[in-house]
Amino acid sequence: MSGLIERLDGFRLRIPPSYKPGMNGPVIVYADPVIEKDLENSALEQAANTATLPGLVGAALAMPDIHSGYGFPIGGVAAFDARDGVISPGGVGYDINCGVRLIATSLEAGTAAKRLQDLSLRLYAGIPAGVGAGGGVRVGRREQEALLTGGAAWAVNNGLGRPEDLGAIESGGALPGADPDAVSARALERGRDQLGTLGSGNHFMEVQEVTDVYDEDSARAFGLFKGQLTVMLHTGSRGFGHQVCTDFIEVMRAAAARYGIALADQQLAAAPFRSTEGQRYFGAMQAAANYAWANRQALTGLTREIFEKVFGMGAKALDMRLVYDVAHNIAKLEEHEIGGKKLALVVHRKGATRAFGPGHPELPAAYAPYGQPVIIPGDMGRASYLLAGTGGAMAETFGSSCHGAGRLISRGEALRRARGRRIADELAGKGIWVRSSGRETLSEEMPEAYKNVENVVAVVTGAGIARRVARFRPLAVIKG
Amino acid sequence: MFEISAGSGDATLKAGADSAEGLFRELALGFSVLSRSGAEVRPLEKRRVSLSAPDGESLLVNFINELVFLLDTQGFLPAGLEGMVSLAGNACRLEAELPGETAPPGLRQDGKLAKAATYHALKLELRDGIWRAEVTLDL
Repeated sequence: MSGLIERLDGFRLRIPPSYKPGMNGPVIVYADPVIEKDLENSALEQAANTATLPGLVGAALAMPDIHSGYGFPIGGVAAFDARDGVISPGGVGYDINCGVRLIATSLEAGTAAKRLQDLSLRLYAGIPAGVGAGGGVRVGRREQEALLTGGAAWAVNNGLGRPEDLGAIESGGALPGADPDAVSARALERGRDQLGTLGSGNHFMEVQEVTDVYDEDSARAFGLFKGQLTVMLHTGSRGFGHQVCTDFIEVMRAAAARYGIALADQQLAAAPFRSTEGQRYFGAMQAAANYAWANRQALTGLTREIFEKVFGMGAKALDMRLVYDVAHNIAKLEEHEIGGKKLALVVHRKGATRAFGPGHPELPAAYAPYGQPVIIPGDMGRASYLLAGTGGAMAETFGSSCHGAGRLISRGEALRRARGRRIADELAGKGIWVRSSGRETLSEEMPEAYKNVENVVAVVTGAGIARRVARFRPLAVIKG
Repeated sequence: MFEISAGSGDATLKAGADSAEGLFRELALGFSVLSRSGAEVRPLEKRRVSLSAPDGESLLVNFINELVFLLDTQGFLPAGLEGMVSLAGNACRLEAELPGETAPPGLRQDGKLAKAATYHALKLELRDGIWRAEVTLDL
């Protein structure tokens, strides 16, 4: 593979369409020489495979946090013409609308420092997390349909947030095409008691401090200032989304054979977007996306209550305003300008974040002059970032950017490297309180298991597909 | 015989046996060990599973996904498999009872919750009279 990759400039590599039979376009990999050193061949191979699917528009894209996934790589973006292109559950991933939200507070980290340990303990006790954690908001069968169509608004209407939150969520926290009838009874059952739960693996809640502000005007518009205490939350659609994906991989395998779609990998199973199968998946996927937004909204409600108790302050004084909420596992029907013409595209972002530039009509009015907030979590020992979308992203990545640091080593290798170490104590030595329900989670998720987010952010900002607004350091981390 | 190895966001379950039923039994046992971090699962109750699929790979993935569903919704883990598995042609079937145990969530806390079985790097083959399978589970 390495001999076939062409370096276009300091931040871009290109895999030509001649690399493998059936490719309908090239792959553009966003990587500088530092990121290139750690690129997995298997992930690049997967990016090339996505380019073989029918209806690809432009290039398949690989963000600098790319790593190997199932079918599509994680950190991949691929857009297909809505008229004759495909939709693929593998291009969205199992955790549909896994995403991140950032919540501001009125507090300064310095003044909150002596309550941090108590805060981390109360968050750990109050936020259902970990393997198989139910214990969230139990939703009856009749209510489930309202939840699946209402998304975050359903949670707000049930006392788990504020109406103004909705304006600060990608797509307003609900996709209008959700089709509860396309969702299986099994998905409904798996989702019934998992709303308002964090889950396990790399999902987290993190209390952070704004350490650096790179653009004062944007930061002010987003409600952020240096030294501020903030909360970052990473989770998705839980067992519900997984079941939707599981159900439709089977449907799409059969559909691909029926429509004559050659699959380089079974996990790329796909159907024409306009087909019955494609539309049913799109409806079910949107329902799962709405479930995820309701989940993050419910967790926001719980978090605010805990903060109010710990700091003994009312909601108004604490001012826990939602800065933004982004999806990073999703397929969306979007209009983009291609070769001077506006085209309806099915944009798959799997481990990639929407990053619309300034003036885009989907942005909240207060944010429109600055571009969409793009939330990039790092690892639990170093840093996270808030970026903003750019015109460059609109021009070359269908308005997309990276989604995080990206794993560097496997869970197994992380466990081996952590043997004999006390990860929680190491982090505590750096002033970071960590609580985890899983015995091995901290080892698997230790900082060096991930790429350095600084290197990932350097590429997307260097390439002009996002720009820095603020940087955060972790103070307290709750892991599943 | 089964073996579990950890990947970046997943685990790979490998198993081998001299019959299709044996293979699926080993996969069920491996799934339980992964989910309960090695703690014993007792045959205290049973679940009936009936599956059909157009090919063996699909039957294998659907079977593990059945285990995922039972674990995620009921906390049930298998201690074995009793029944019939056919991996012949394009009408593969599994009719079986799974003896096992409903584990309280606290007992599962140290294990891994597999959220889905995938077709990623899936292997199913009969070689030298031994059925072998390798399936990647998303965690």
